[in-house]
Amino acid sequence: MIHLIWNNIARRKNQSILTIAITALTVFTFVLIFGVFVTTRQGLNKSSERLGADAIIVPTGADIDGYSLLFTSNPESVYMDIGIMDEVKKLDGVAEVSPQFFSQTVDGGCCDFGTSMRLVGFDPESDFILKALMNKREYDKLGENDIVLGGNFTDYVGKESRVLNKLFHVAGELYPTGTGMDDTVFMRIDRARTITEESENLDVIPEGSDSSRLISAIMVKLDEGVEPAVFANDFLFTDIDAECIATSDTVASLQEQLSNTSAVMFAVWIALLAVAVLSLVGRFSALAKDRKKETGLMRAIGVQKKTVFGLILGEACTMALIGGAIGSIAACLVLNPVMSHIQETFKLPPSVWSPEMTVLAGVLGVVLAVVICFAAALRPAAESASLEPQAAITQGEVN
Amino acid sequence: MICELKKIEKKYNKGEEVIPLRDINLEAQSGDFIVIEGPSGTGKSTLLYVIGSLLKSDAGDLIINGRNTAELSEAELTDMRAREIGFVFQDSNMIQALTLKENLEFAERTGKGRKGYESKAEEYLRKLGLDDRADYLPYQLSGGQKRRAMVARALINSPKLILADEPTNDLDEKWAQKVIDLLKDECRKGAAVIMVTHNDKWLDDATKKYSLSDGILKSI
Repeated sequence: MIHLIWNNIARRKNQSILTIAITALTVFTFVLIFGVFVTTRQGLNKSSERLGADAIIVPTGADIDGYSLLFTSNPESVYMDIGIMDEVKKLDGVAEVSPQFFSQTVDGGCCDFGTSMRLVGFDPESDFILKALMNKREYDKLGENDIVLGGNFTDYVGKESRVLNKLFHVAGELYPTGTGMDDTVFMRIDRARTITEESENLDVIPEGSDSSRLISAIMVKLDEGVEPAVFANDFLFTDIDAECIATSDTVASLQEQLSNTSAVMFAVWIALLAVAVLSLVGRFSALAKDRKKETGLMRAIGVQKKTVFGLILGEACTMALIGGAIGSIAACLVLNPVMSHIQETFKLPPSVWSPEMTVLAGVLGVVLAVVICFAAALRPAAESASLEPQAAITQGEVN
Repeated sequence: MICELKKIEKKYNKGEEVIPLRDINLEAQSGDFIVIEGPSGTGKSTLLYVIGSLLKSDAGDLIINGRNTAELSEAELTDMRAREIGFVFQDSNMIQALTLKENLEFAERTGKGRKGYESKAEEYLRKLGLDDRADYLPYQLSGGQKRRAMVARALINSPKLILADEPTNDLDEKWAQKVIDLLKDECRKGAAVIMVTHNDKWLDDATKKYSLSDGILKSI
């Protein structure tokens, strides 16, 4: 039977190529959409897990939203007095706080990174975010002239680098997070304030203010069980002159947007799947009709009904395996550039789409192909098997 | 007795009732070479389909090798066709995705199972002058070559009952005679052949001769 199945596929090339092409195309779109869906979803979840802070306190009126704070590295120069941190510490549900000072490098020869980037001063003693993300480090205590680079900078540790025209030693490197942190330069908060104030090219410190008391954000870790959204809402009713952004809200909002996009993509794929299934039903019905006389012959010379049924299903499933494999391999080849583009666009961690995921998507694609071909061939196979031999021979087309 | 038909009747209802077979009685014993002649459209093929259990009769009994086919299940009838009956169809009919030799081997495997025998495909191809066409696909064969191939396929399992529907169609005189000789050889080996033809040339070779007209089978 296997021999006949294979010869039916190999020696009726035109029919087989058409069926395999429909299957391959369906699987290709499935694997691609599956990849995009999984990557964006898991990427966001991973980013959310790696954020570390449950809430971020920023100055009142700062033109800054959660998305740009978390997911982009656009330099932000907004400030408030460090005294606010003491007030935040006293709020119910707050477990830890750590201040950050935002500044920026400047384009054009001022630094070794070639573009304007976010410069963040942090307090190594109270910090609970960078500590958890440290990939490589060359220090026990971060020094005056040490900097730590975000995850998009690799192989800088141990080297010297200029930031705002000052020479620094790259003492550490973070894991990629999929957030704006990946393109950020970190240094001690006091040093960040000093070089920002001393820089001739930057004019971001408000005139008349004491730069040594300025901070841009307070990263807040909440007690276990405290909902960030509830905390952010309660914060509105305090007297503290600042705003609270619940990071989970921002991630949730982005996830919702992506869910909507995914739903549209899924709907398009379902429509494609329906078209493919209908085409395949048509293909297998035509196949069964074309071979009516042959089916009658087989039944006449003693081939059992179940064997005829198995032959058509076997042929459908073999073509599905071939089409599924072609579609899966093609999609997996295209996936990497597509994923890179998506990761770039959404700032997702690069580790999300792994070789294991590629294999999983490929296997799922092949399984899907077999399932749809099996479903599409079931009825034509049953009809062929139940044909009366004489009727099949006399009604079948003359070969 | 290899095959016995008792009062077989077959009706079709194609707008008006057509009765191609009426009260047919026929016996085929080992060694019989039965020729049924008659003009086209008189029900000769229908009779062979009924004898081969490819078409159910509306009345009467068909007994093959002592078993009444009405009492056999669909699977048993199929199995009986594979092991005990060889068909030569009127129209050329082969599995298009298999070569000539593979077509014979497929029929052989269906009748004898997978293992435990030596294939006779090459022997029959040689007997019917098709050994140089063994690897050809059906569409690459002429009408006469296909006809000879169908004869080879019908004989390859050495069936007890051979049903041949115009087996000499498309054949030149030499090959037509060769096919008849092969069928007679099978009779000598103990098979029964029932051949229908519109050509009365082969009546002389028959051990029993019949004509079929208006659904009635008459001995001649």
